[in-house]
Amino acid sequence: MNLYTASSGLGKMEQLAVGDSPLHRLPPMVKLITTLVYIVAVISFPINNVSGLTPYIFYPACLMPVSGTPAKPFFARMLVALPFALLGGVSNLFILRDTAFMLGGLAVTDGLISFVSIMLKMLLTVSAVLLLAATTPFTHICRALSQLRLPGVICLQLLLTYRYIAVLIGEMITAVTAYRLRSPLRRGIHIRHIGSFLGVLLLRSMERADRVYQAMLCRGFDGTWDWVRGRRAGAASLAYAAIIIALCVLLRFFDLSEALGNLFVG
Amino acid sequence: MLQVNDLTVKYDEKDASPVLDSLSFTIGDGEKVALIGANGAGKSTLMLSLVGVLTPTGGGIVLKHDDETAPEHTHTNSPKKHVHDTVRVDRDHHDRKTIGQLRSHIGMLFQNPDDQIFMPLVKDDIAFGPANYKEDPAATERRMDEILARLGISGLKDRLSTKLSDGEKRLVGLAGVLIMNPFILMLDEPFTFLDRRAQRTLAEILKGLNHTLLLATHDFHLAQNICGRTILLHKGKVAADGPSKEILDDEDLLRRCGL
Amino acid sequence: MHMADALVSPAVGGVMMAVSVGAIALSVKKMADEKTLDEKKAPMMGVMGAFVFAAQMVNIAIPGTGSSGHIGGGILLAATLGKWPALIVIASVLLIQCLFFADGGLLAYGCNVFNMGIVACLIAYPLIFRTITRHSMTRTRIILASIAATVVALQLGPLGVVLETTASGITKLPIGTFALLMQPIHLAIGVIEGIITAAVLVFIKEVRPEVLESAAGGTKMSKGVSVKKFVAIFAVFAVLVGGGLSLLASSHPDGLEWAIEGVTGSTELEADSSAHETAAAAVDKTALMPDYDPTGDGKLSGTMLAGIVGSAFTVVLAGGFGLVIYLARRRKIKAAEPDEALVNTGA
Repeated sequence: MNLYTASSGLGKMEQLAVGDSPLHRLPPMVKLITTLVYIVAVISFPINNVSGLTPYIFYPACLMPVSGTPAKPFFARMLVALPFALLGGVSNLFILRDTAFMLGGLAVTDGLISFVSIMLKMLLTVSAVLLLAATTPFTHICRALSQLRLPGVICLQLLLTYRYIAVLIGEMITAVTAYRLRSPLRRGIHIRHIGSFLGVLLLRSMERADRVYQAMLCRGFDGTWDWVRGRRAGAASLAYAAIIIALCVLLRFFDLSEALGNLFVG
Repeated sequence: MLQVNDLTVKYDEKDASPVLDSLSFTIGDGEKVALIGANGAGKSTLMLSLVGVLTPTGGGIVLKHDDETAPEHTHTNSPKKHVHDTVRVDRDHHDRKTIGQLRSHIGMLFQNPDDQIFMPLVKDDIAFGPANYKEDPAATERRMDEILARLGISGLKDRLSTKLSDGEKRLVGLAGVLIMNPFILMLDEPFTFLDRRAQRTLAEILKGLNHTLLLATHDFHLAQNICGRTILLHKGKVAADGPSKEILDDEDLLRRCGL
Repeated sequence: MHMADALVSPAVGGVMMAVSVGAIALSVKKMADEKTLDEKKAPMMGVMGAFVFAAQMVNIAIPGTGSSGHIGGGILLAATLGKWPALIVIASVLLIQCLFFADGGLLAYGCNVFNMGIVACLIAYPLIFRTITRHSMTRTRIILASIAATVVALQLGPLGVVLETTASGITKLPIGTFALLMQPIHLAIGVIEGIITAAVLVFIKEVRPEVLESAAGGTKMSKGVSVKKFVAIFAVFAVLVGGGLSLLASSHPDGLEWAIEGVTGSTELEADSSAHETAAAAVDKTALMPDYDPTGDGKLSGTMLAGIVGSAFTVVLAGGFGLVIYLARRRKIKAAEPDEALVNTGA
């Protein structure tokens, strides 16, 4: 991720988040809780249980089209989360060399099973967070956090951070470009200059923060911020939450895929 | 009516020369006044003092108004307004309550629109002011729609703050200030960053407002267009105060004051 | 250093989330108590958070290596804002990175806040940076303190990653090997980031020293209380590290030796099975989900086959559902806006 992709990435996500779909209309707290329950269920699976995980694919497979979330950001995010998961998965591939069973001529090792399990977990957890972010404007997420008793002002500063990232990235890009035009170096800022480069931008940011503060004061800000309560969760939202949570818990202990397979295999 | 009496402001007590030096002038209700001066003359300092961000070292401000002369957008459900208000601000009267009152009557549009629009969504940003005063959200939204229509930017309501052109940012910032029902509107160089068409649009809107206006600008053409009166600042003092045409056409005067 | 959800267990994720939430709550309380902090902090923390977010992406050319470094920001923020606001800023940046860029998982958020926020702002900064610069903030001291604090932060942080991942039991990478992968690299990164932080802080000291002084002032006021808290945190940390390592060491030969053994003995069945036995024993002792069942008999059981067939079927079914919903929605959207096409082709 670099300066250029970051700002466009944020903008695209917020554009998606203000869309309209049944998922968008759910209260942010409901989405936050169901996402967390889903992730907990998925990652609580032991590494040798792949079939039990597969029914969880229904969650992203159905909710992504319902909410209109495109596949491209999904792949971009997978790329970001990949290195860490790959480290764990590939190392398991080498460490757990014992053969679990033979499939045709291929010896399927415990390592391979755990590798598939880890990759699947990554796929599921990344898609769950994507669904949350792509259907909930950040303002609503901040509001949900305030409902979780995080002080309103802290949630406000979170929102301000989000708002000013685009501005700061713009400033950073301008500064980097100006630097590059006057220096022969092709790769970034020379460490010799980094002190003043970042230092100037840091102080400018502090001065900007002062001005923002003045502007906030002029519009009545007094150091506290109450988030206006959103609409109460309707029956439909609560039903959605109940169903998702129930399914997550049920499928954790009942292996649906295996049961289906048993029907075929007998 | 805004009365500035011997206003003196120093950034630091120990400074020998003040940034603003015994400024005195009066602006009547509904007047549109241009504030001009070279960079460093004290325009922004004056404005920041008038909204209570800076504390006067000497002298003060008196704000008086009657409800009869209120601008047309006043709604009585705005809890902070009192009829027949007099707000007195000076070195000894700079407490939270007084400043809060002052700020409910004077609105300021800052020079850099990005400093002013601090919520990710336009409609949330415009509603920021009324939300601080705990106004009913439905009422706020109604007034917001009115103001957006008046400024011709109804389509921007659901827009992301980062996806606004400079001209649009100005107008959104203006909407956010107007929704506070100020009697006096101060604008710190609002025409910077704008192309010619956006400047014209803004100028037309400002001309059409009923509010008392204090407009700091380097653009003399627009100043003359919008404001009948001009105050010229030089080194923290009032160098001239009179009809715009007179002052803005006086090349010698302007040159003497660093312009 | 961002941890993804896939390698974290609910237990570890939950515990670290609680720790991080606790630290954030403490920061909020401290900020409310301390008189040096006023309403200005909200916009200041917001804009500085944005600054750090953007600054982390700036490539910094390291002479002689041909590679680029970056700034993390923990120590920098603590030195310019104070340690409590700095923690909240880092936590905010991490949350945005998690939600919008999948840089860090949602359940792993607590781990990430600990490894990158708490370690830098509440441990390395006060215990090392402040200790060195307490008497005077000279240029030399700032440079020394920045590098030392950053190196420590970038050793403890990755150590946290290693411990949390190993404790989760999802990956079977032995703790020794894991640490060997993480720690040396982060030593180098720490030195470089420390130098960068030092450069920026020295600049600020020369241009606007009051920024550093007021940030330090905030820390100074609560010195008495904070030292106790840190000792407590360190003690807990030490117990975890000591306990965890001893547990693993007792059932498991040195990580590096084991890895070498496993590689060289891979062609011989005897060596393979002995390595497997040791690994199985270690796995049994460390896995939090003890229903892991090393089969090793090489036969495809009925349950396994059912599992595979059923899984394939489930995936196909899920895909089918998804496709149907997607097509239905597309049709609905197209039906709702027939005029769009006319408008676009018209004018």
